[in-house]
Amino acid sequence: MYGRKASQLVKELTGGEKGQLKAFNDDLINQVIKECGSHHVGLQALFRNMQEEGLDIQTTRNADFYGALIHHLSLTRNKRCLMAYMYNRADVVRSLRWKLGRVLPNELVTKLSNSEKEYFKGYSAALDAYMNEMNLDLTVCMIIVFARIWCHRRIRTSRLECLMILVKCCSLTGLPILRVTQCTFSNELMLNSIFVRV
Amino acid sequence: MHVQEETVDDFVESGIDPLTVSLYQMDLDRTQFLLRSYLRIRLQKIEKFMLHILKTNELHDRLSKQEKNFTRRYSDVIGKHLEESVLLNLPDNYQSLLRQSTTSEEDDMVPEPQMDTFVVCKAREYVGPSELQDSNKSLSTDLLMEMEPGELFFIPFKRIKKLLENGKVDLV
Repeated sequence: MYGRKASQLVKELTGGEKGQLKAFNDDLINQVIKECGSHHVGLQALFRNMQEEGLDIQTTRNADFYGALIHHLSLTRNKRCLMAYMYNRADVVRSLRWKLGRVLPNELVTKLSNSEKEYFKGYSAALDAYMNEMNLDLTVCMIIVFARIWCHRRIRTSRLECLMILVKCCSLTGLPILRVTQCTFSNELMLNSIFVRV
Repeated sequence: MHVQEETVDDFVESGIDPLTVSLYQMDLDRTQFLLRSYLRIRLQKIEKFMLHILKTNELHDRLSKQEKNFTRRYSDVIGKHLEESVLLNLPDNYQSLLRQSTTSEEDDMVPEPQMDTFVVCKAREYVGPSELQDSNKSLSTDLLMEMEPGELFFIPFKRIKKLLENGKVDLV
């Protein structure tokens, strides 16, 4: 059945966790490309038939034409599936640069094709060049911290003191404060305990 | 941001109360974070719609000089990757990156941002029905709607695109 292998390729993208790469399926890609080649051969053969019968390819609508059309549509569908596979994997490869930095661990490198390895290097270089030109490292400070401070009711602390604790905490961890939500006074927890949600 | 960095350095040198210094430092960190976030999101959008941006002059002009350089380098990298892995192995008329085949009437393999998605927005000032109409339809057949300032609306993006650029409407 035409297009089945290409569907398999695309299904590989959806199986598994989001953002995780499976090993590059060289074999299946080559099979799909080969199928495209045979579609093309079939298409040309049918057009030659029509020409030999003296029919105009642009306007005639006979069995040969529709056969050629099916070849063409299967070919373009295969092309779309191939491109979708490459494109989506390229998206994941790019996100790896942001998550893991310039050097990838070996277990991930084995899952990439040679071209993808070159792509990773090229993307990394383009990103580094941009960050150099802007004089700013964009790969740091990618998460923000929401902190809520609970203070024991019996110990009276002011908002300012809560803020001081927060500032100390942030200067220790190096993370920026974006927003301070309320400081609630409750009976339960001890002073100086800060719950941090990332 | 540079001014803030200098202020912090001055404070540290003059030995002012550490709390004040930390507060200034915090403010600096916060500004830096916002700046980095902004630039990161711009880069992500460029990467997502790169071919479309390169084709549309109006969008290309909105990029900074460094972003234009990045786009050029990145398009080379991804073009080479896709061509070598797949495109050059396909039959002759099907090798284009932009089109499905040479018989396609337009560049149908270039992803474009969806203008029809609904977005939530708030008007800053009064917006009359004439400004919201779809330019292809006449006023009488199109939906008549006005937007009072401060009210929230759920509306297709393309209707408010111009208003957004003029600053009359904000996205929420």
